Amino acid sequence: MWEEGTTPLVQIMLALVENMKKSGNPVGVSKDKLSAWARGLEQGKGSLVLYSGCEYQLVPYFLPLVDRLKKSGLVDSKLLNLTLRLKSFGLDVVSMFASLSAKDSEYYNELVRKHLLLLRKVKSDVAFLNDELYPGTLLYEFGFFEEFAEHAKKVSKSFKERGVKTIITISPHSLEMLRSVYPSFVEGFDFEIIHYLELLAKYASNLRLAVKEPTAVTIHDPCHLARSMNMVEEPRAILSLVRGLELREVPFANKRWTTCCGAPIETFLPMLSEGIAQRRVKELKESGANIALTLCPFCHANLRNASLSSGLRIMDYVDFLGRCMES
Amino acid sequence: MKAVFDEYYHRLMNAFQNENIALAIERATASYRSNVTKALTKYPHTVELAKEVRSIKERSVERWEELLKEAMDNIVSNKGQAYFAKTAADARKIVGDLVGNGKVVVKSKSLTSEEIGLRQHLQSLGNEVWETDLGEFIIQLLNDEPMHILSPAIHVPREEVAKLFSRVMKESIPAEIQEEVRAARRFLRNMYTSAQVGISGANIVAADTGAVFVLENEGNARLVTGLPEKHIVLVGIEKLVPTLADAFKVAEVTWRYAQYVIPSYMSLIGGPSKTGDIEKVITYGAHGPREYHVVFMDNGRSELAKDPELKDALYCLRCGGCMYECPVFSLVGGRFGHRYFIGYGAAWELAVSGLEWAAPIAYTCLRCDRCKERCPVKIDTAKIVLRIRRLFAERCRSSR
Repeated sequence: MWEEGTTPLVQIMLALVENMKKSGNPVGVSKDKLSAWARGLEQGKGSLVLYSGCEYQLVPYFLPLVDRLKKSGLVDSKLLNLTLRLKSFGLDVVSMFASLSAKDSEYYNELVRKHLLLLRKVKSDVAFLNDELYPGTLLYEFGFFEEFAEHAKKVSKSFKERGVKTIITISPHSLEMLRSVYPSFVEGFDFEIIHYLELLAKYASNLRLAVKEPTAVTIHDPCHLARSMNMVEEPRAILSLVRGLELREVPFANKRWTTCCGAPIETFLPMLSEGIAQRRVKELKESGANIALTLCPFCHANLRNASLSSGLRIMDYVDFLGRCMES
Repeated sequence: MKAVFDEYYHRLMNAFQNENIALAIERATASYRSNVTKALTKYPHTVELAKEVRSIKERSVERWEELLKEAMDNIVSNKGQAYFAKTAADARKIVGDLVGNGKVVVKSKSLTSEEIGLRQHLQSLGNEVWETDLGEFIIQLLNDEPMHILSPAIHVPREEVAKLFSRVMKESIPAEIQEEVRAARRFLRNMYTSAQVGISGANIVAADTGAVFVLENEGNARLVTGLPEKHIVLVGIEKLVPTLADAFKVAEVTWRYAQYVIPSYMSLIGGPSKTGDIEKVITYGAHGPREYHVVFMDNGRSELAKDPELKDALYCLRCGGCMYECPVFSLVGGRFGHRYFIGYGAAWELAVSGLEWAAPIAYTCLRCDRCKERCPVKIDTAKIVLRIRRLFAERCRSSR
């Protein structure tokens, strides 16, 4: 569908959009792969559901794609075609990078499970959905509003059909989409949208949280959570309940002044995206902590890549919190 | 479209590979943040005043046509000449006719003149044109393009400046900043006195009096607007505000967010130089310019003003604060942009250069919103960028 001779940046965007239309997600991952995280878990019945938005599950497919884009240099579209096997029906990321994605898939699926298990500690009736749909964030971000509106209606319908009333989101993007964007695209989108931190902050005092040895962490506030959703105190309040834990703030660039991890332009300008992530890792290290907690799967992936030889460990917030639970 | 994307991409990546840029901006950012914090701490009312300035700009952009007429009438009754240029070509023609050829022209820093390539145009008519802002002067000598709106040569280290000055001035200039500044001062001094025409931009125009405000620190704009026989102001219609009182508010917020407690100079220009000291007979061209011309330019701005999502871009005070907060800018400087920089600059590019220039900028923006956190008038860059991406998506869809 892209014309010969369009610039690689546009080719990639159009390929991802085409995948969205075909498979409901930008990298064409099948439904069973996206719901693999829930294998063996009791689904639960109530109207309070965790919604992963498939974002953690999609990360392992973006990683090798971005890696390949970096190598192709993004200069010559013919070269890009060769290296990426752009096809007339989209971009077949799944089959291209199957082996690369497999090990990361396990890791990111586990992170989704950890969200559910932690939430169930404070609220036992949290259910989840089979065959969850991706919220369509990239269509919105890329400016494809018509396609986004169509997709959003499907997502909304899938909630309605399941009798969902309250949706617990686990990523800043899903939260922002469902809370601030969907209501102006989907008529009657009247679900209660919450973020897991809001729920945890309410009940966390019931949890016994501690670190085994004195530990210092810092928080990488995601842009969309801190600035768009103004959620900066919740993650800190919960950490303050962890015995033995010291929270060290990044100088200046924290809370509403947080710095972007670079992920939003990873497919368009992968080298620049990596440069931005490296800068952010440097800032995070200025906190003096050697663990930085992330609250967004894309921040996690981009920063983890950039921190490999930096001495800074990037950890998902819930992953860390789960390890602080005393049995 | 592809050619523009490719050119943009290559310039962007070249800047990314030039480590001097990131290093220079890192230092500038640390200094900017520390200065702006000091200035805002000493004058905390600025933050509230900025909200009022936003509403002044909203109201002014809404009724720009009315304010334009009022300002033009007042400039004429103050014995100046006022012009309206619909397009960049119109503006180049008006200024070109006023300057003529074979002249020496001195310029102070003006984004609006960069927008229309005014220096190059006047040179092509056979004039000798000198940028007098030190940063712009360096950029002109390098035959480069500005890297930041207030500090155009932010990426050029002192060693390079010394080499450049030594070559151009045909004397050995040491790589010491103080010496370099003195050298530029000596060199440009001759240009001011031989120039027949001075060209400046304007930070604000108060419609009630036609008064033009020019903010600066170097003192070059005072000489540009004061020494030559003829002074020409080129200003965008978005700089109009209703009253002098409004203009002072805009001025204070602009310089404070540009990290200054107070700038060294603010020139308020109401008309040509005049005296009535001999027999009370008003005579024009006393010590300053005898002729005073103000060219108001639209060049796509009125189209932005009609768009509910894009008109935010017109409220920009050009304080430059946003750029120090942009993670992309921190690595590539002004190559994240074309004539206008960073995310919200995409709206300006749409107005002055078209969608093919605006789109790659819009898709480079992270939509991370930190620029808005800094912006005194809270320009909604994320919204602007999304609007331009929509326009681009529509073009993709329709060309299928």
